[in-house]
Amino acid sequence: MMAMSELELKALMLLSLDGDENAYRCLLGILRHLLESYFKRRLASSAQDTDDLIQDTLLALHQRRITYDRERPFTAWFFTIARHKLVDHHRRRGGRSVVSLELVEGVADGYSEDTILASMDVERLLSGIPAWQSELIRRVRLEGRSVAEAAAASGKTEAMVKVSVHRGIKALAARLRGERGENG
Amino acid sequence: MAKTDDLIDSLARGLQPIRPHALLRLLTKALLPGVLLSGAFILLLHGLRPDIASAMSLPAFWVKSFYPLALAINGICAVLIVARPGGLPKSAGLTSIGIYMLLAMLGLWQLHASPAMDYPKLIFGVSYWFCPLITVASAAPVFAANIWFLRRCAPTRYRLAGFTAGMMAGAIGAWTYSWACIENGLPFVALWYSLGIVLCGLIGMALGPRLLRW
Repeated sequence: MMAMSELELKALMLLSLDGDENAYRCLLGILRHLLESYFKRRLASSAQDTDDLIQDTLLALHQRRITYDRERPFTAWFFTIARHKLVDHHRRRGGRSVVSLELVEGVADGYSEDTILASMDVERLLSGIPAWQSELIRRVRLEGRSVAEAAAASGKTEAMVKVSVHRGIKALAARLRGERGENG
Repeated sequence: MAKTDDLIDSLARGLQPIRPHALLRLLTKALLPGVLLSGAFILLLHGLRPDIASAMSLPAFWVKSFYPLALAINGICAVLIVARPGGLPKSAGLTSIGIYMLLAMLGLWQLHASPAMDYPKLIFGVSYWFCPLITVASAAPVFAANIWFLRRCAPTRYRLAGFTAGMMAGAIGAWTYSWACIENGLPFVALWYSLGIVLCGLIGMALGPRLLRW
């Protein structure tokens, strides 16, 4: 699995614009998964709709890739297209329902592409270490609870929680380095 | 899911490279025939102003020609911005207001320097009702070119994109007409040329959602 940061996606896009088929295939494969989580979060409807929207968005990216400015962030450009497709979908579905449209806009504003990408990266990394350890890291480092709370909830001593979190983070860092190394 | 795999495969196969500045190239390709048609329309159906040789020594003639030209160049920048998803041409909008203010000031200065009996000629001329109409007509081929271009791009605000395309087409239409128009009043240009250009913008705004949806 590729690491999915703006820099890497942009590098793939630049290669694709130069006509690199493999880079493009790889880029579309990653974007397809990003779109899946992006649309699923925002659509209450069927998986069929999500699939249609994913294909619509990928097709729009392909047909309108001339509008990508090589000097600008790729994810911002791409998610503006995805959001445009989503709003269009709601407009067609919901008819004149202004309320639902405003809701979509609001939700889309709340999640910047960077937030999505960052949280996806973190979740993917956490899934690579033992569940009890990732649970502790999530509580202490992501949700901002105290070590004492985490210790009470997990039935471990505070010292053990501290050591586990510390070791877990170190393991994550090692995985991150290894992963970048493999792809670099 | 399998359909998405097929789609990705078909998109990637035989991928065509995109050259740098491809967007500007595409707009140029669209605008060239549009501007030529607009020029041909003015030349064939109206003709150059009969006193073109002596008019070219008048500063007012050049101001009348440069005003729409400046708006057109600014409009080309704005169209390139609205062609991209989420594009908002804020500085181009401010620049066009600045260009208008400059012309309005020159117009007021021209009025100030002229006797009051010349005011009707400088403000209404002989063709004030005709000018906005022929501006819209000579802008039509350029507007069509802009729509052809934008349909290949990714404008996300249809009304804004239509308005911008209309204003830019109107400015180019006004520029080609400035070679045929016999008026020398700058207040005339500030009022009636601008009215023609804004009319084009409003037509574009009305048609935008219908023509540009993707």
